[in-house]
Amino acid sequence: MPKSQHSFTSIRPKGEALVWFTGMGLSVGILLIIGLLGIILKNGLSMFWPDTIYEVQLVEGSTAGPRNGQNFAGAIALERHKRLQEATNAGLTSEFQFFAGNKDAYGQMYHYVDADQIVTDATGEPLFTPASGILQLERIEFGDALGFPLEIQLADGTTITEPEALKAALFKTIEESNERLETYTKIEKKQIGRINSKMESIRLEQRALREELGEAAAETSPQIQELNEQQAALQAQYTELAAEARELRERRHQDSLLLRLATGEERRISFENITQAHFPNEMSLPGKVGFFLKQIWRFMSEAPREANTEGGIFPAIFGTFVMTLLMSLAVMPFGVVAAIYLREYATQGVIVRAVRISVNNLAGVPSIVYGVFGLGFFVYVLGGSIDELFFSHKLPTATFGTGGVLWASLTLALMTVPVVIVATEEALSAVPRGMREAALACGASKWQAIQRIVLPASAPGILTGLILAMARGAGEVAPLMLVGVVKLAPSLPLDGEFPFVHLDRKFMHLGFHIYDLAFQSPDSDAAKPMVFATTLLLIVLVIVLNLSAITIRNHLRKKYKGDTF
Amino acid sequence: MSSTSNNPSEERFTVARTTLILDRLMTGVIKGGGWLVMLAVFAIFAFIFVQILPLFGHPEVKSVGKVAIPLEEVAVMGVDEWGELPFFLSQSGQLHFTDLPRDVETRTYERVGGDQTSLALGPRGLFEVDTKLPEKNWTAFYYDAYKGEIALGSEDGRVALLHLDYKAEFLADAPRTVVPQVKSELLPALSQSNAPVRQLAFYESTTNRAIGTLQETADGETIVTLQTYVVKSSLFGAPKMVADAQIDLGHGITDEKPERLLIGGQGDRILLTTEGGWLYYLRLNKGQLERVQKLQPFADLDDTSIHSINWLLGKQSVILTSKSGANITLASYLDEAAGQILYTKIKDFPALDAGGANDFSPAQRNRGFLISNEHQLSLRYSTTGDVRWETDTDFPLQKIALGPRWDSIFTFDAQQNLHVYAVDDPHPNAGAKAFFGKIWYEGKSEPEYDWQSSSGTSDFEPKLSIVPLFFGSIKGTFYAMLFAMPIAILAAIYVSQYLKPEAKRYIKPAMEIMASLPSVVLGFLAALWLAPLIEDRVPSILLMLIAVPLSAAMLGYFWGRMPQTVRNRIRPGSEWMVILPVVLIVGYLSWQLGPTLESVLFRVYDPDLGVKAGNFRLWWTETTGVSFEQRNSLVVGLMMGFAVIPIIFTISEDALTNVPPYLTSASLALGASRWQTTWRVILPTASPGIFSATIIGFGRAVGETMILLMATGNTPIMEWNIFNGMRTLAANIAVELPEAPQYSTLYRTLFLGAMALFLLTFILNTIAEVTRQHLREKYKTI
Repeated sequence: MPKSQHSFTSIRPKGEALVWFTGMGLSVGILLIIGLLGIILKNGLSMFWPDTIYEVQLVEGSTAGPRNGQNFAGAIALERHKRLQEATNAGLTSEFQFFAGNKDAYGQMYHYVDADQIVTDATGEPLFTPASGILQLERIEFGDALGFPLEIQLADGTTITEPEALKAALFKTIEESNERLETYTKIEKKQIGRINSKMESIRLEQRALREELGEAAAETSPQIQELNEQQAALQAQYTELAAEARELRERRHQDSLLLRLATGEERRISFENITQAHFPNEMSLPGKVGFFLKQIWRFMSEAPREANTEGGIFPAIFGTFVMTLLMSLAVMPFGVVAAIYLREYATQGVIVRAVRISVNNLAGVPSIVYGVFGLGFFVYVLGGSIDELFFSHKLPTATFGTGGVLWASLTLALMTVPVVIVATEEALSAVPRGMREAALACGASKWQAIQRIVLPASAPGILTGLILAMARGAGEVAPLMLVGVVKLAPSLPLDGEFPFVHLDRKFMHLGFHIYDLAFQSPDSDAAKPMVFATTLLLIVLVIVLNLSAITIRNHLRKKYKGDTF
Repeated sequence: MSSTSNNPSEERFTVARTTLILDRLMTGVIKGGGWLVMLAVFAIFAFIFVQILPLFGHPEVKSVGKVAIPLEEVAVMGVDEWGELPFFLSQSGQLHFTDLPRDVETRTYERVGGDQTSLALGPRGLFEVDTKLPEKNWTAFYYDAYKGEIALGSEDGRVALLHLDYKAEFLADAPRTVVPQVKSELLPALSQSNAPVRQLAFYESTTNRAIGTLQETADGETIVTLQTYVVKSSLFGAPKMVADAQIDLGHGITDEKPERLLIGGQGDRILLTTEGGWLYYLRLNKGQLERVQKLQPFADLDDTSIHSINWLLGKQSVILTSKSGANITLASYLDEAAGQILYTKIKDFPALDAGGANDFSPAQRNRGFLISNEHQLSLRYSTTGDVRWETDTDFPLQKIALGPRWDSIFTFDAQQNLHVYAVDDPHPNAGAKAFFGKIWYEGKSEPEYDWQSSSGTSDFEPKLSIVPLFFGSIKGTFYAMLFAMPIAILAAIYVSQYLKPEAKRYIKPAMEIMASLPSVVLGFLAALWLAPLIEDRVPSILLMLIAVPLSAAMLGYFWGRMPQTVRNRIRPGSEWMVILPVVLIVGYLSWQLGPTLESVLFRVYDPDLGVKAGNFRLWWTETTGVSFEQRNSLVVGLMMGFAVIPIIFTISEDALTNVPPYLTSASLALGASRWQTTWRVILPTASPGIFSATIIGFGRAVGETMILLMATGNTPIMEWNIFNGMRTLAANIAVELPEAPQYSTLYRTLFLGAMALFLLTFILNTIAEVTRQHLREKYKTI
């Protein structure tokens, strides 16, 4: 090979290896992000997917199964490596976690079984055969039940045992049972509630009349008699409705399903405890997808049960929503006014520059500090004074002098106000000077120029700031723990009861729900799928908010890029 | 030039009144609103500051007044919780109470007429309550104010017990009245001797009782006796205290003549002082007396003799004074070498001016005490070794009593006057020393920084040093930065300098979104997913940390050696697409090879099997001697690192991108390679930007709450060990503030922690911000 040619190709740029090395930083970063999101996505969604239930046979003498038996049915929840107690070889073995349900029968829903405890097939892999005809029941109490349906006994005495008929009757009875539940809930909550409030107002009228006329005269007065008649009529209505509700309840209670568990014993489950049933091993793919979507909807629309480990997270979603909304209402005007002042009114100098830097820095102050301030000032000082002034009749029970949705949103508003100020200022400064000058030249006053020209032009930027603030507020937990978030709120901060918005109420929050489920739950295995699902929802919420903010910002930048006045 | 006829009418230049008014109004609103928001934001700082100020305040003690109490030979004085009914026990055994009416709301005492120094006696005046004890000449007294128990020793060698309880009675149409309740018991003769009892010690619990007496016989001999009692429950009637054993403490136990004694522990620890200033610590073990320790607390003084010895609340510490007035605290601690509890000097107070103490009154809810000699009255705090307040009285002090709520001082002088002082000292255990200093707490073997704010018992000594919390914050941040900085800065260099612009359009926003991931999510993943995952796979992680960078560097090296034709296949700016699968594969292989590495490098001896096997956890504990926890700093470092990567990345990337492009062009045109341009031109110019990015990332990590709350054990330890946890300032606030009563010392101390966080992050961010602004100016002028 001629030397000259070689020397030409051998000229290599210096430091290429180091360029590749910096590329590693990006690759690792991307992998971390994808990995993290992937784990949340997979674990979060798998909760809703109907898992195949396997029959598991353990080796002779093993006591790892439910009730120390060797036979059971369950879904594989987890397979992982485990360190052996005796560190003889490499020290790791495989371990399965099965979801076997039937907490009422087995005491716990999840069971850990070492791989070597399971009967293997010819290739040495653990043998799992799908349990054909197994039924998974979602229950109000004791979590899911897994078993083979034997018979349905209805309140009217009919029993159904023929498999196909049983299957049909099962779904029909659940549907009927749920309808009954809806009916009697409606009767008890709405109709009886209405009667109660009428009776209460009649009682107050009676008392007023008695006081006005005197006890003896009142008894004979026609008004009282009329009221008494009304009362009696209402009482009769009440009795009738109550009886109807009781009958429906009774009916639900009496319908029952006999289930044979994979471990052998039989259990009778009342339909009042069953909310949903499916045969996971006999579902087609579209059926599974349908079930999956339905489960997601139920997760988002239902209230939690069983110490938050079952049911849905609707109150947490709603609480996050209300809190974020209130926070936006508080942060928006103040943030924008402060930014307009800094950018349009204040004389630009050292002081304004210092203020600007400080405001910028406040965005970096730890959120817990705002929580401390919120507790000390809003809850104790402000809330305490409000209680003394307006709710002294309720003391020592605090109304506003304890954490609540109002204080939580104000605390977060204070925390996010720098974000809005910075974003608004940026948007205001992006409005070309020419536009302002043109407006002023046309005779507009300063405020008119701001109101008609500057603010509309910077609206998308301000919106970006607000959305970023909302994203930060929605995901923040630490300060909320101090100012009013709870693990289970008895009522929503916004409902149909006068005055509709209950600013003093405590509320549930997605982020705190995650913390609470992960750390305060009595059954951490049962809570794990719920935490992942809640996490997924929170992340989707935050990412959607951020993406929209970024999109708006990009549009804005494009819009002003070409603008030259 | 203008013609008058063309002049427009004046109205054309008049502005509508409404416009003007609106403009003025909005100017006012915006200016006012703007300032209001600024003020509100800075009011946070002011509010928190105001909350912590009282912690560093000095106590305020005011003389309230005096009242004459014509009582002779007062031996014991004490006071009730409300400060309304002090009692006086005389040497003849008479018990008197003084009714001092006090306003329930304002806590002020009634006075006589317009006289501001004379207190009025209430309707009950000075009254005597019959103790039902036989009339005797009592020569020794022991008073436990916390339990309201008095033990009396008589001239003829008998011991009696007096139980004193106060009750608040609420009667209709009458203010609350404090009523005394007195129970007494004369014990059967204790020892054979009926010599006068000179000193007395007493201990009682629900299960046993111990009484120590020091008697002096006529021929000058000293007899020290310990009488123990146990509770015997019978089928009928209430359980009864029954005499158990009688132990001679004098002969053969001490080398010198005994002077004073105290009983503590479970009635099994006896402190005995002797002539010459020796202190003996004796322990009663299953009826057998052991001499555990003999020490001379005032060995460094000329006169070593002990003048007084008294228990502090909790009976773990004793306060001693010497003849010359030296004042120290002695406390028990577990001596590692001796393997048992011993006593040692933990605090040295300023000496009393005129010799040893003549009276002593311990606080009933903290580690404070009141001590006096003839004209000196001093309020001291043992935990911090602080003299809270001190005064020289112009009357000779005889008896003193500290109000149980640490809110009043009662003194009885030799002219039979009762003086009352009001104490306003809400935070006696606070102060710079308590928060930042090394303190020798009772029960500990050396001075240390410790945080333990509460415990199950009420006589517990709170430890409020924020130093370990600060350390925890820094430790967590340190490990997070160790992980985050290289990745973030390398990625920023690559993205800003080499990455194709099309790819950058997606990668940058993706990183920004990651910055807003809720930290509770990361915390949960760290604790419930990552921690158990890597618990047994530490060697895999170690391998990964080495193998991944190495593989990337080697890939770059060998790629550079490839022929031009091969190299041309990958366009500059797309290298990361090649690295990505390599990193993935190397990472996976490292994960799988971890256990093999473990069984080769980290072998420990397994005593059960008699072989050596790989186990990193045990290896770490055996080799370094420090612990290994599941939720450790490695987990925190990885997860919190993940939280700060996007922040450092975004800001560094901005700084690197904004370097004026002609610098790059000039460098490349001169023939520098792209790495040389980056290394010699871009990085030096943008380094302040990267510095400020790091500082901001640091600030975010220091204040991070949820990840640390969830992924560490929250124990306030001060060790750099990567395999155990920590407790950080922020997490500590989140854990303890919801439970802290408003305006309590703990509440304010947590505010102090918040203030520290606030200042730290604010200062760091200001440094970063100013650096960035300078950088921007620099870019403009280059």
